[in-house]
Amino acid sequence: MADQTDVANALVAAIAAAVYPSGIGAPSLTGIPVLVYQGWPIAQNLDRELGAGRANVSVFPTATEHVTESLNMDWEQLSIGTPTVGLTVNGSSVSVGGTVVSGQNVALLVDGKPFVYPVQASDTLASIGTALAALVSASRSASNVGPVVTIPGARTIVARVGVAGTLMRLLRRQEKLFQITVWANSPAARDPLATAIDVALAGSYRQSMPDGTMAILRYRNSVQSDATEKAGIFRRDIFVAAEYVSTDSTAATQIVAEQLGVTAQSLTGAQTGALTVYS
Amino acid sequence: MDGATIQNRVYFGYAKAAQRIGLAYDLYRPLSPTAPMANKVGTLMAALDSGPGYQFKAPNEYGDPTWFALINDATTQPGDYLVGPGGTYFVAGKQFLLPVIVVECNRIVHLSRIPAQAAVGVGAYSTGAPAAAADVLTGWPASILLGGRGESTGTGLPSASKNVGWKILLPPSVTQTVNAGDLIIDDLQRRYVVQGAEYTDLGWRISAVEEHA
Repeated sequence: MADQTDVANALVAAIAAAVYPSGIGAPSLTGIPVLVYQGWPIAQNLDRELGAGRANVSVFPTATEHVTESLNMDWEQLSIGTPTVGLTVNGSSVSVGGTVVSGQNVALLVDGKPFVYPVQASDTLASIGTALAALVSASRSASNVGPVVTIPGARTIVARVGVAGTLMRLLRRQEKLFQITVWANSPAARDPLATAIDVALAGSYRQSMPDGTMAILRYRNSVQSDATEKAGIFRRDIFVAAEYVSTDSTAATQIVAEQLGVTAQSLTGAQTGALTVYS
Repeated sequence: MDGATIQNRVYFGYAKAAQRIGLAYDLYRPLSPTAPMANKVGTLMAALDSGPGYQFKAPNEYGDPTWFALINDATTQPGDYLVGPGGTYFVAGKQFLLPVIVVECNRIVHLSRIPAQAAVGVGAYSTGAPAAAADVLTGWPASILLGGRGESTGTGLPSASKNVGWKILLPPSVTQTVNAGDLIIDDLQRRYVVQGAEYTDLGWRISAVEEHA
């Protein structure tokens, strides 16, 4: 799920990209070496960095936050795998083809009854055929020659391949304030760097989160401070609010065969019969 | 016999004692605020004691930069530096008929100050950034020891420690006025801001706070 650390990481990456548009092998946008990171500077390191003529940019989530939308949505499909194994029905035979990759289920519905086999990494097309034939033969006559399974007397054969995927649901949407601090050893080193960061974040206000969602950045305010100039430290705080979604995700597998149990009861509540329906 | 004659005889005795028990020290007399150690005026024998009685019984201890010198004082004057096996010292005072006070120097400093802005009209960005400061003193051995009042760190960073107070001594040969707000940087690149400075016949006694993140 996306959380404040993901947003901070995205801010760090966006700032670094803005400061070093040609990569860190080339000079920074302002010509001053810049280190961008999440968290607060270590005081001793800051003294060393600024003393060496470098600048630092720190990113830290503040306590200012509010929930913009409470959500309790259903699970939605985020991603799904692609089947690599195929089943082809030809009369009373089924041929297994394609490429064997684990994490897939192959299923046959023979005259309405399901037989499901999970593909293993060690399988071959022939061993899948053997496994399906073995499953079916527990109920009725079946055999295989390599990847071809034959089920004599079958009136209907339905073949299915199911894959795994990921589901996601949105839990809430919140806006959190992030403090981006430019640390430099002079106003001349600080000001152009702060301006470049401000412009870059305003221009790339949509930031991708690792879970596939987007965070929206909104500029709030800036605070410039020379209060620590005796220590040779000049700073500007840029406050940016990020609205992002907290999500939850889970792995899921496609259904290849449904099974429904039906129980009949009399008016007095007595059970009169039970039936299992496959589809 | 008058006081001056007695003083000369005392110094003569100091010199004779130094010849017996002292070590050779180079004598420097600062002439320039930016190159105080450029003028070597000679070499002499000196013995330094932690106490004014010249009994050589007790060692000097933490926090006390003052020593008392057996030295040929006919050739020295307050503000001179002695550089020898025991370290670097400046002659702080030669008070009448009294032992000679020298101060042990543990650091080398330069002192800088922000120049005045343009008198009228549009000025540059007003800042205390190091690049905007101009050196007033360069290369002066000084005593810098812990002492005085500290202050909270300005950055407020989680890893920041308190800015502690320091006592800084400079010789009377520093003729430039040291003011509150002046920045002193030592050879360890530590930054001290002058809180107050007094000038006496012993030289400059400065109360400063180390500034860091």
